Amino acid sequence: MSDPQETAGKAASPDRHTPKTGEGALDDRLARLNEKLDAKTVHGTVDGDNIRGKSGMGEALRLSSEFVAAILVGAGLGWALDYAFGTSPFGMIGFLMLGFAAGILNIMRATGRVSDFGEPVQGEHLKSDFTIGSDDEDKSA
Amino acid sequence: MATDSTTVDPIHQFAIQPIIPIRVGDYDLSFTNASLFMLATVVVASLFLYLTTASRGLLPSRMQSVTEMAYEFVASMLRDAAGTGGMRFFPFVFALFVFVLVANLLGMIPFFFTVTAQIIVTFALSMMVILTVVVYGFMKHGFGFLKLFVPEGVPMILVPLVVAIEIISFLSRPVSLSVRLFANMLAGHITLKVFAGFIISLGSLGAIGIASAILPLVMVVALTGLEFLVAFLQAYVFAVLTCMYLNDALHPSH
Repeated sequence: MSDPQETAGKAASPDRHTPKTGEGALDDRLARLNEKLDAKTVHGTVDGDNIRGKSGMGEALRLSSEFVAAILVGAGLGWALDYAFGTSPFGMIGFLMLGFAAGILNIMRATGRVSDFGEPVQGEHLKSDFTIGSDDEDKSA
Repeated sequence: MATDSTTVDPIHQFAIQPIIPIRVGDYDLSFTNASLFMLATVVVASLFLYLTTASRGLLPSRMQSVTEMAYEFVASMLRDAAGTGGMRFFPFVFALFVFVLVANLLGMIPFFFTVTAQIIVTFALSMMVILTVVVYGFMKHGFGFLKLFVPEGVPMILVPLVVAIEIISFLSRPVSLSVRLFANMLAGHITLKVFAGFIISLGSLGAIGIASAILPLVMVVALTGLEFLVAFLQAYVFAVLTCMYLNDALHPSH
């Protein structure tokens, strides 16, 4: 909690109240965010909690397979596109990186940090909570 | 090979040997030990389910309640993940769960072949799941199924990138689903074999060797217990993930 950052966030929003209540509001918001993150984490681990409780090995295998699979699929797709269109090596380079991103996404989904396929609702809430000082509801109210 | 009696080849147990050689044209369609144990899995599972429920007691016998518990377990898992609409896939998910579970458990019997430690078997199973998801998703929602790949609330500029990542993530599902089951069973059986091999190698070293062979023996006993846990857990994980993927086919945009 550094003060300069906080005041900077405050300055960004014009109709902020006094600094004191601002700090309280920020704490409030952080608490709410934590709550939501907790709820999200619990909700997301459909089978994760079972594995986590019983053997770390199981979870390690699970997460690593998620990660490696996405990279392999990305590389495979890139190679296939190169093969089809003769754009070697750029397709493979690009899709390898996309596969890397998809692997991270897979892991975050598997651990429940990110909403699932086509499930934007919670993500939206989180996003509006992350951007400090842009409270549309406050302004309209 | 002179040293064959004391060295152990931990991979040998996964070798596929033809039992009844069959050739059709250029294809080798032999009835192998893998086919035999897949057949055995289906026969054992079907016989168990049939015989335990044959009496149809209102008060279930011990064995009948095992079958009923398995049914309830899969049914509630599917209902939780995909809603009541997902129950149309119950036969599919139940068959998958029982097949994987029985195949894993049969593999725990000494000298038996583990079909789920063959990547082609697990890959075929997971392709069945993913093709069901894709075909049913398009049948039910048409092109609306593609909304699965476009998360809401993403800026237009980022949409192509995000869609590419989502598609790769979707395509990686059958791969990770099959690799997970395969790797767990393969690694478990190799570990068991290696530690069991230590017992034999140490045992051939005289009195001290036999005394110290107790350590890997303890390890093998513990690992066997762990492997039974893994056998159940992996069947469960496979079924749960199947349910979650089927949920995407039923409700592509929540």
